[in-house]
Amino acid sequence: MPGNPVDAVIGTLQQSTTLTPQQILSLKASLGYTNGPITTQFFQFVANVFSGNFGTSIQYYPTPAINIIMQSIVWTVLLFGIALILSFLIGNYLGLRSAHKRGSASDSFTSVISLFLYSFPYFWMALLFLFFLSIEFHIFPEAGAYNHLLSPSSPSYYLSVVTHIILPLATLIIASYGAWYLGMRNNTIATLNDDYLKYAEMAGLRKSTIVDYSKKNAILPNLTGFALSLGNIISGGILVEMVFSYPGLGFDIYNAVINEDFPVLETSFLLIIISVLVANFIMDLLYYRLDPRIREG
Amino acid sequence: MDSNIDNGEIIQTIHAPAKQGSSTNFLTKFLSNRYLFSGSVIIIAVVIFALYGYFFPPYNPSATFASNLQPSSAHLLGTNYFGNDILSDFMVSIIPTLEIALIGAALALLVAVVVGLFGGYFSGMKNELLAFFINVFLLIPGLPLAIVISSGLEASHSNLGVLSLAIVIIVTGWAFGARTIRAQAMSIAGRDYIRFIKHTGESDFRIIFREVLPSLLSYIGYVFTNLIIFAILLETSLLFLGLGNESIISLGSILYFANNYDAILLGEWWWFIPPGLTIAIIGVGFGLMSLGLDTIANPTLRTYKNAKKFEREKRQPEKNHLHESSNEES
Repeated sequence: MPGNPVDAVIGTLQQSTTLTPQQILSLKASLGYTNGPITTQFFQFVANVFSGNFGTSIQYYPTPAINIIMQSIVWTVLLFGIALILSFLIGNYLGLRSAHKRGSASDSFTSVISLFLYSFPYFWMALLFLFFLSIEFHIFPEAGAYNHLLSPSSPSYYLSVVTHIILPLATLIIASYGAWYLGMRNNTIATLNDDYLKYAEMAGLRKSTIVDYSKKNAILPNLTGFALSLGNIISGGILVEMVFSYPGLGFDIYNAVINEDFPVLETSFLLIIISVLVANFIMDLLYYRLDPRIREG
Repeated sequence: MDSNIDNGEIIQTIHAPAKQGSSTNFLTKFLSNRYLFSGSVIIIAVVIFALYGYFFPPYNPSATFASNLQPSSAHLLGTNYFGNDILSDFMVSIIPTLEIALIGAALALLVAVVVGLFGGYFSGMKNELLAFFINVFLLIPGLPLAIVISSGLEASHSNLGVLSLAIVIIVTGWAFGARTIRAQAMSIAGRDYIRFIKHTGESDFRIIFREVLPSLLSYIGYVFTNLIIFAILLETSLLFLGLGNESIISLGSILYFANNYDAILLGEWWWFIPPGLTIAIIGVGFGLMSLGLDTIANPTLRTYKNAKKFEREKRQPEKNHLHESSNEES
């Protein structure tokens, strides 16, 4: 990344007071900027992380980086969590339905529409929603996560949180449910060719029972994908949060890149990677309980 | 794992006749696959429009007029903040957008095929290590990584231009393809006929390129189309965030300028709707192609309608044959 962000901090501080060379040196040290090679600086960061020190933010000097991220992570968890769960449910439900009606008009229609929405760039869909629903028709608020004028305990504050989250949420769900839909549709069609379901059909079981039997096996690959897709939704979320100025982690990452705020970047990446790893670990444990076949192996 | 083995067996049976078949056989196969056909038609239409726009834009995209003009007969999509004709700017940008995505996707595919093929063919420690490596790359969220790489490259090697975007696409995209190809290569490599060829003393290199690679072609096509979609979305996202070189001409940069010069607040829909819609249409075209290639790779996915048609076609020659034989008798 260009330049040296520490010099920028020193520059802004020197506008108000004059700094002695000793003060500059200690400032550099406190920002983690030593003259050593970049690997030494990196290991210094890693060592600091284990003692709970994630560094000081450069754009909001002297706020610690972790404080900035803690403020925004609530919004991100709220937005991404709801988006992930809803898109998973919607996509799998539609996929299951399509697979059982495959070849029909409704199957083709849903497939093409899902594919179309799935190919939309996240940020462009966000721009469209912003343009049509908040700027042209004023149905939803334009930016932020809540109304600044309301006190955080009143019921109208919670209402403003809901109205602010609808557009980013809708963008994330519409742009990401297609992957679940296509996956579930393919898996169900493959499962329907299995002998046990052919037998169920021949034995004259009710259609709803067959759907029930097929979904349990068909959903397994999508469940593995659930944890992996966390990375995908974070990527989409960065763009969506930026367009709607939603004060989450993605917005932080974007601002940190623009302002060369390395400590905030490093800390948010660390948190993202840890959360993706933990989610995968939990999913592996759950998978063991969900699929009896792998327990024997 | 079970389903992979099934697919592998089916692929074998599919590809065996294809080797002997003529080019007309391929053509009928291509035309009868409605997803592949409609996807290709969309892409060809976009490319023709893009080529026309690239060489014959209504105005020189850098010519300036009055700024922020509304759409009119002289400027079908108006002019932007800088006074450039938006339609010309848009038409000229499609080819470079596709070019970056294709270069990036092709290079990522190359890495994915090499890693996937060798990783899937050779078993043992190396394979396990490779699988671990692929999984690590799959876990890292793509866009944050891409943001860091591209802003880093932009700072240290600002002369790379388009190539820096291609590098970002390779680093963040190869793992998806490598995983798909590796899984299929593994199931093929475990087959009896491959083991038999190995016993005849054929070199591993030859087996990989003569036997394993041809039977994975439809998977490779599937991975390639998906990589192109991924590349276009990643490229336009990065440029939209303002992280690429600003001089790069692309649909993403148009959206970046539209967003930064308040096209949305001013209601200038003609500035940001055409580029985004084009990205979506290109995505749909390649998406349909990937669905079509997926049904070739996994015949179980074929819809009921096609299956019936297939049976009808299969029965047809038998009838003709009976007919001919009865003629001979008379």
